[in-house]
Amino acid sequence: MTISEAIVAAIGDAMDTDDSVYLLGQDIGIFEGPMQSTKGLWERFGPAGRLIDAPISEASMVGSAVGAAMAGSRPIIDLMFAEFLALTMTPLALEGASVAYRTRSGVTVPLVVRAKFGIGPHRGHAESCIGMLMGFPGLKIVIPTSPQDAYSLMRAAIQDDNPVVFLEHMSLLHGARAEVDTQLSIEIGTASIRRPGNDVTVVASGLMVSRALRAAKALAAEGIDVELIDTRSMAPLDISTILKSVQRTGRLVIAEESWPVAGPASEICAQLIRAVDGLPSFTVDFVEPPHTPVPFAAQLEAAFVPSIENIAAAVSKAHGRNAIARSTAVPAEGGAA
Amino acid sequence: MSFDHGTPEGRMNLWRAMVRGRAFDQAMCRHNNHWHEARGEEAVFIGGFAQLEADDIVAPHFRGACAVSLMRGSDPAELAAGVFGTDGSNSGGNWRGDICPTPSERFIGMFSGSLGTTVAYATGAALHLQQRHLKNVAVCAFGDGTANAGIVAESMNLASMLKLPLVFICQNNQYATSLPATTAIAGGTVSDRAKALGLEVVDVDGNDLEAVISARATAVARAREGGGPTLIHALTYRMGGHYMNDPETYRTRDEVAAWEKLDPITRFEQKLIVAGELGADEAASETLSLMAEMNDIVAAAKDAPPTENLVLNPSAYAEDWRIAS
Ligand SMILES: Cc1ncc(C[n+]2csc(CCOP(=O)(O)OP(=O)(O)O)c2C)c(N)n1
Repeated sequence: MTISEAIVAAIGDAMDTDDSVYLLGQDIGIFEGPMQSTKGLWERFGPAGRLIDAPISEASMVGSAVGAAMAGSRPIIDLMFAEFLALTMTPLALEGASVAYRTRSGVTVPLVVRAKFGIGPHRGHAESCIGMLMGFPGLKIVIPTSPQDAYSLMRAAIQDDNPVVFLEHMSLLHGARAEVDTQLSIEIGTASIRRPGNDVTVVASGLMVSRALRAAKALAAEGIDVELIDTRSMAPLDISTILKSVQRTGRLVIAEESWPVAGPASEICAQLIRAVDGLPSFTVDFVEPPHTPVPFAAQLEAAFVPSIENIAAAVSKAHGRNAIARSTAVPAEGGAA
Repeated sequence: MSFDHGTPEGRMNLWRAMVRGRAFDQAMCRHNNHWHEARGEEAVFIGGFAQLEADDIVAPHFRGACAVSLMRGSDPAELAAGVFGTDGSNSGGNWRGDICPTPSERFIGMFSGSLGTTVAYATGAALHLQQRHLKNVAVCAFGDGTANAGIVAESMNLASMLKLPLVFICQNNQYATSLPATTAIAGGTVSDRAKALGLEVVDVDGNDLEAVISARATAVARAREGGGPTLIHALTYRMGGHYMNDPETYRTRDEVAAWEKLDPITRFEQKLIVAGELGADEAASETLSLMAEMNDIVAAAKDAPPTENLVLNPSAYAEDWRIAS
């Protein structure tokens, strides 16, 4: 399966096993979803009214899902593109994600919002708006980069009792095929080590994972051994896996496609600094776009998003730096080294 | 409890629900200077939400939400604790009870200070009922000011397109804080807008309890039968200010006095008295005793100690609260 097929399969399987799951979105019926995001589902669930073509009304699509979820459904909203998330922040993030806290789980909001993002064949709609999402407590944010993760994490997202934003990278959706074990469960909030290594830790998500992987291959030829961590979910963030890695390698490079301010990179840093009580034993570098809107012209867009070369250069630079300390000098629990 | 206005018992219960609701509201006005008074609008929210089934889902407008909650069986002491956010509240102080009671699966509240979203939540609740092939309905109310929010129009369109089992009630008290509805609702009325979106629409005198009840009964029956959503546009008046410290510079005393003559409780009470179902003295004494009772309950809630667990749990995720509570 491709990532796209895996997501559709996960939704179909969930709808088969749980009839409180329904899918609502624009053009998801006979049109089969933008970029085939619901391919094959119309035949299976259309006649039963569980696949609903929505009018352009993002706030109400997500708002109605919050209401349905509170009443007992497990809705999935196909929002088309992540930039439309900005239209839904009150019902989804300010309120929907606060319900469990405000009611001490007396009422919960189990819903999934799917949204495509990132540069890709579609051209346009590249914004992930992810920093904005990360600011709201109570939301979960998932970004799969392999068919297996896509399948397992979508099943987990549908099962989850919190609102989950499921971000689908447009450059990866119809990429490489892989076998998917539908019985394998993956917990939201666990990162994955895509490539073990000893010299520099690279943390990435989405397209940056596949670019970092290729950068790592090129760097291996130069004798630099990269450890690549795919965060898989941005909230909750699996900081302990990242921390363990950087305490070993002594050097961290964060590769991000989204805006550099108040986003994943800033948050990873903040959580790491907190986790080591202000005494990092590692250096930190960034490969990020500038803090500007995403440009449209193909060359400008390509220059905006970190390339394989950009990542490789940042890793080389990090490798050339003296790591502050290596694992031997990691501060002991509860005190400075 | 029966709220069937076709029976003497139901009529008494309706009258009592209005009086109790006002008693709670007025006690809040006395003890809480952040309160948003609902006096004068009782016919809309009592008539609009009475006689529903326990499994019907309600999403009242914030103004009057406590009266709806009381009518549906809430304990006034717990409700009052929720308003002040003290230990007796069922949210442990995490919920902003001064705008709406803590929600449940069948009661949608206001999850932040933002108006309009509850209309979408009620729409989704109705979609849930339709998806599950249940015979229940959702009823939601919102103000004339809230009617201008984009999400309200989006939700009405979605509800109309999907023929959802839903009743919208516009509780038109004629002002959004200071802006008159006649100015703000450009291009006609909320009814005109709803008609354009394909809804069944009915305009009622929002100070006439029975008119609201019969409009609501028709709309609910229609929704239960799969006939789709209705908008009930109920014209009423907010007799108090927007909130307790409102200087009320945007309206005249004469205007307020004219509407005071149309007080929905007095109107309904007079009918019951004329019909011989309620004695004038009985009405007066029961009103006084309900006022005193609610005043005591609210005063006690106000004096209750603050929540002890200041931050019980640093996570906002559902699973972490299950462990904590
Ligand atoms: C989205 C949003 N914008 C503005 C406000 C500030 N506000 C609180 S109450 C109110 C007036 C609401 O008018 P209406 O819906 O008619 O209800 P009423 O107060 O008249 O009962 C306003 C503007 C708000 N709470 N939410």
